[in-house]
Amino acid sequence: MNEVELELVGRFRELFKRKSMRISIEPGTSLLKIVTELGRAIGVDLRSEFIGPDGKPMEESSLIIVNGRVIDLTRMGEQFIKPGDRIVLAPSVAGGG
Amino acid sequence: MKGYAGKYLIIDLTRGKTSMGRVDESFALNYIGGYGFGARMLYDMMPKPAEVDPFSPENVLIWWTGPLAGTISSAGNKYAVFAKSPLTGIFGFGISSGLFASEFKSAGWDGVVFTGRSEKPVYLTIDDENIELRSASSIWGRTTWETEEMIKEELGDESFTVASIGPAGERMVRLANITNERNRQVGRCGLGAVMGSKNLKAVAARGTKDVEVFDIEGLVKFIAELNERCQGPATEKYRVYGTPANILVHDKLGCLPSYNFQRGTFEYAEEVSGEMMLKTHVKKIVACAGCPIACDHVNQAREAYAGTVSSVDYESLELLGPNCGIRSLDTITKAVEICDTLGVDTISAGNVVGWAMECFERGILTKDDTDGVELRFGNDEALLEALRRMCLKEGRLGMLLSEGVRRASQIVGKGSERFAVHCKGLEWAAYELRSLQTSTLGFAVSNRGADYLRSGSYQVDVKGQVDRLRLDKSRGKIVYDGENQYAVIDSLIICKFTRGVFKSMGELAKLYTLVTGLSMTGEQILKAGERIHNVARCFNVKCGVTRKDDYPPPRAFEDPLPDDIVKGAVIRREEYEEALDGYYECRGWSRNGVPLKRKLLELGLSKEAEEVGVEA
Repeated sequence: MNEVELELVGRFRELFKRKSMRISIEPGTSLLKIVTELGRAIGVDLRSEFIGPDGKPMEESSLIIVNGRVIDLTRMGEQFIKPGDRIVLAPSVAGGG
Repeated sequence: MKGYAGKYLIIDLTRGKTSMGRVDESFALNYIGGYGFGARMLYDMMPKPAEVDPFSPENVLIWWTGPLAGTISSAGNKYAVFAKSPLTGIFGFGISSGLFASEFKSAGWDGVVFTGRSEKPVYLTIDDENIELRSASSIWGRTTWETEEMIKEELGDESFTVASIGPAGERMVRLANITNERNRQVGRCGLGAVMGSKNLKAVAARGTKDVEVFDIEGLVKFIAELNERCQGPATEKYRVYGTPANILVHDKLGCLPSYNFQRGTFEYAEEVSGEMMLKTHVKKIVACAGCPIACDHVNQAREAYAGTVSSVDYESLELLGPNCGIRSLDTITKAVEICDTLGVDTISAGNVVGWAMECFERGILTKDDTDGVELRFGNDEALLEALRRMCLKEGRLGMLLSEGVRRASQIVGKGSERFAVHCKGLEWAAYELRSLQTSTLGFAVSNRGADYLRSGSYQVDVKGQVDRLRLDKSRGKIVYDGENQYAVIDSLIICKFTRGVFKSMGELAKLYTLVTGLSMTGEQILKAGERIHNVARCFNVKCGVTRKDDYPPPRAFEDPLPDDIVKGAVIRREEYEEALDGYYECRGWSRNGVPLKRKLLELGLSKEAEEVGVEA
């Protein structure tokens, strides 16, 4: 099975209306492609949650965590996902008033 | 000079006398306000801090607002309190928000300094120019919430804001805090206990004056822009979920401390998550004066604790929840209420109870030591009972926990020091030690002990900008930069939740100039931040702090994390030493962590250079 586990936290739960889901991928699919297609499926520009108009992460960009590792958002196109990987979409960490 | 009131109160509690000091332009430009004023004044007023018992009349208790308090500036209504900390024995400092700072400043004062000790319990009223020390005999022993209501009733005026201590502060519990408007606290370093030692129950303030600003048109325009940014993505998480949104993110990153920092994930994280809390427990979301964000999520407990109401943020939720193995939001809401009303810091409280639970499970503490309490992880009733006894110093368990985790572990011995998660005596907050290693460096070198609020160094770890499971020399620069920026933020004093709203230090300097009329650039204000940080460090050096004190606890080096996603993560000692060297180099300090004379002179700190500075 070419599936990966997608976990959703914070506002991503609202966007997808669920906590987690399994998605099928072709081996070697880039993270950028997965994010773009997920966004298309729910009718939002999901990429803009992570990358600003200038192509750089914003000050408080959301996070993508793959197998416990935080992904460099500027290199989503070079991050290839393999079946069995665990992807988390999460808001940035908040702290200290 | 606008923005500032230009004067502060000096209250001699021993003699019951009041006098006044002036805030001049040079003081303002060099130290900004808040943290800067407090550091400068504590250093000057306590020439030999190592010889001062924090509970003695010789300790000074200093309250400052910043230049933004009482103005329309977004999220700038904060005040800070300073003293030698009874918990850490070094520079003690805490910040609170709400309405208090705005009223205080509108009364025409920038700050108040308390010296000596009152013979009998008193509280201070500041009603514009009318300053009065009143008897607190009828409110001594009351909770913080009762105290607030009783003082307003006694003064016959609901518009007074009240900052008070609870029974814990009166009993000089070393974790005691100061509370204003029920849910806002000067939480850390045990400054409530210093109030208790001075027989000072509360400060009540009411102001009717406008705080004048230099360029009202420019300020209105700039604030409108900032407020609009505050409604954008940079602050959305605070507005919707509040900081409890961190629970699940940290769990997914393996940096959610659980079972007294033995692990970095919690198997019941979903049950205590911000997402769950919003759905089942949050009844109200509250904003501080002038804040366009509104982050304060007020919970109402159900079932066994129906009727309990408390404000639950990430740190409280985490330390009293997963760190103690607790999975019930009702219990956590009740635990926060106990801490808030009796008056202790939830972070330190959750940390020290977590330590005691680990000691109990390891057989180091027995039922004899806990007065019969089955102090195991996940025991809801045991947590609540331990907190209550700690706040009231009741029995052997209460007396032990009231000392804070460092002293408690030294009292118990038997190797329990190894499980005490603190730095310089301040209990570690809710960021895992080994899976956020830049953060750990930032906590460990902080001026007030294990501190998540002085550098924001966890941000590079959680954003994936560095390898968070390793350290290297470059991390020192990250912590150094963060500390200088946060020193500015804490001196202005402005809420850190707006840090993503300001695009540069230049914008903070612009805000300062619009309010005060004093010319300031981004570079100059950052230099002031560096100056302030160094003054506080010099105070600590006088207290005996050196390199030996800038390390995380043993667990960081000795106990690899067991959680799958960060399995085996541990801090390598040689990497830590390298990162610490890198930090000292950036700071211009010696390898022993003492500021060099030349650095202090470069910052205009000639007194510190002479008294503390060392040659290269």
